[in-house]
Amino acid sequence: MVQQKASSFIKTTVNTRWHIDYSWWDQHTDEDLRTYLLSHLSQEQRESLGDLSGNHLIDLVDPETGEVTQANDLQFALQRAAQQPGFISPHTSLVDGIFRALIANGNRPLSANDLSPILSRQAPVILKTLSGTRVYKGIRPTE
Amino acid sequence: MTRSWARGFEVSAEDVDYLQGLLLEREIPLSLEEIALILIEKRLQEQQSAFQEQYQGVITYRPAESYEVGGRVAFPSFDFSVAEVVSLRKGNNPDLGQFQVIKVRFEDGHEREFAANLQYAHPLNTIPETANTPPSIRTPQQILQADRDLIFAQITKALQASDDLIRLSGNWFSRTLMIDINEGYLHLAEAVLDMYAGGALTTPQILKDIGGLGTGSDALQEFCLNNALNEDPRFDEVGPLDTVLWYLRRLEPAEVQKTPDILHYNAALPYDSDSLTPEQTALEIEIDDEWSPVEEYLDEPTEAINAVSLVLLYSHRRAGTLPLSSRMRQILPTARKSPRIAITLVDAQDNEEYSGWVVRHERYVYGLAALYRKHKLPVGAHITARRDPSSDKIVVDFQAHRPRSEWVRLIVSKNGQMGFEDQKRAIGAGFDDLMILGADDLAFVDDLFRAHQSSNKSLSSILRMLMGELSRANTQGAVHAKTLYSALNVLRRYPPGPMFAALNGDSEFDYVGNHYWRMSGS
Repeated sequence: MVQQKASSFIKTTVNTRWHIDYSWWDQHTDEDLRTYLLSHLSQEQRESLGDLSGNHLIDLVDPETGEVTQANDLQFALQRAAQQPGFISPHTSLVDGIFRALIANGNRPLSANDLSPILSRQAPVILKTLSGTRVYKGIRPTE
Repeated sequence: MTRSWARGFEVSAEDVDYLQGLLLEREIPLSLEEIALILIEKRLQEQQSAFQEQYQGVITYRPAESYEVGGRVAFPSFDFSVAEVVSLRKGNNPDLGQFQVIKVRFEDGHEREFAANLQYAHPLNTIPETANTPPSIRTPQQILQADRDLIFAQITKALQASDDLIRLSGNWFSRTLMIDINEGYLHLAEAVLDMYAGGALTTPQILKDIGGLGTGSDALQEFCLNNALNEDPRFDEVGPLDTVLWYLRRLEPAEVQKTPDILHYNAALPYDSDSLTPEQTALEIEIDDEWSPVEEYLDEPTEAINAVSLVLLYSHRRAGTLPLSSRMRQILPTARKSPRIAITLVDAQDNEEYSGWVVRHERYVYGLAALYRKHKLPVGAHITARRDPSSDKIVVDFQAHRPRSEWVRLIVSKNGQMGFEDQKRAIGAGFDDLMILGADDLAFVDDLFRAHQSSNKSLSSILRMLMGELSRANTQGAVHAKTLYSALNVLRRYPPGPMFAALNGDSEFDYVGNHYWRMSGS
């Protein structure tokens, strides 16, 4: 279970690991999570989402352990999209880029140092963005 | 890890039974190291068996394989934890084609799902079956080397609790199988040692000369004879660590069996060691008296040394001994129990050899009187001692030169009391001019010593008398602490510490610097 802490209460470093805290979306924003998640899909991917609507829960297989976890249609579509080249591009904003990198990683936590080569941004810049008083898109430290 | 393996190591009653059986079967004594290796190997085999039992019928998880409900599976990604398959269902992922999902329950009750019959090349499909072997298996030798003391202590504790086992010189054997050594064998052993002027002889040498014990292996005969000799007061075990050497107690020098009075120091006498200045402590370390707590003064162990230099004190010159000081202990052999160790001393000047003895508890090395007399070494002579690495003999040397006339502080009688006079004498050895002492009338000096043994004079009063006499030779009336220490030990055995404490605590002494003292108001 990933612990949920506000970044303003702990001293974060470039090695502090971050994840998407989906509960933040229920409690701290009026923004609709599904709408935001859909914004990460291309038009074509959004249209194909309808084809998955019959598959209520989809089995994702961990590439290292073989363990199966289940995802809904949108999460699965995002996982699929994350495998496509250009999912994270130089034109993606920093916050969206971090969000997409975490989705591509199955929301397994990543540090600023881990994110730096994925986003082609310097780790201190990533850390400065995430460690402010404001929580962006539910991205919070795990430790 | 090996260390944690050793921390969990305990010797059970079943282990002791197993060892007793082994000793009965082999009929040879076993060393503690041999026993340790046997028990470690036994424990490793037990662990291996338990591991194999745990994994019997267990299949290593591979996503490409199919599984049945009730099957047991070990998961490489979860430290080979074993779980039972509790259900099967069809997998649902349009990207992966047809596959199954198995639900498994681990031994702690936790349930997880895993892919099965997966068609794509998952890295876990290449895990070999041999992967489920016990982790971090080391050899018994590696385990013992990593934590020898801990393992030895556990084994010794368990073996000591057994009435049937007997230990001698680090070897263990079963009492049941001990060869009976009758009085005749002991008389023969005594006669053999007598022929060699008392010893020291190894047990195999004695066995050979008495024609053996008639039955049992060589190792068993050796063990049983050692045990019999050990229980007979005629024989003394005088070998260094891990070597058994026997000597006839009645032929040992009296000075080895009983400490000469002149070397006797009552270490229990209290003194104010906190009053010593750093300079005095440094001088005490430099002098390295055998009764000085040098190891306590030094925070860290000193580097290993091959040779020791020291200045000969009157007490040792008179007794024909060397001090077993902190530095000397590093080059001389030691033992676990034997209070006396027979050694060979070698005169470096002419290679003549002498029988020597390390008397461990009383802290001296006996056997140098002839060497001192041969070279006319004075009190205060610089002596060096080193261990010959090829033979373990102790080589004793000094700075020899053609005798030349030197000023020597002679102990003389002044109306029957102790006095000093500087006179010229021929000296053929390097010496410390602060500690040199001479005496033409040894009987008088011996009388002085005996008189001070029976008197109740305090250390301060002896120091006041010595300071008064020694200061006459110095125009400033000051006496160096080393000179005082050398002269004090003619009358009574003291290391520098109590002497410094007495000087510091008596207002009749004034410190004038650089280790010089004088009488107050002089």
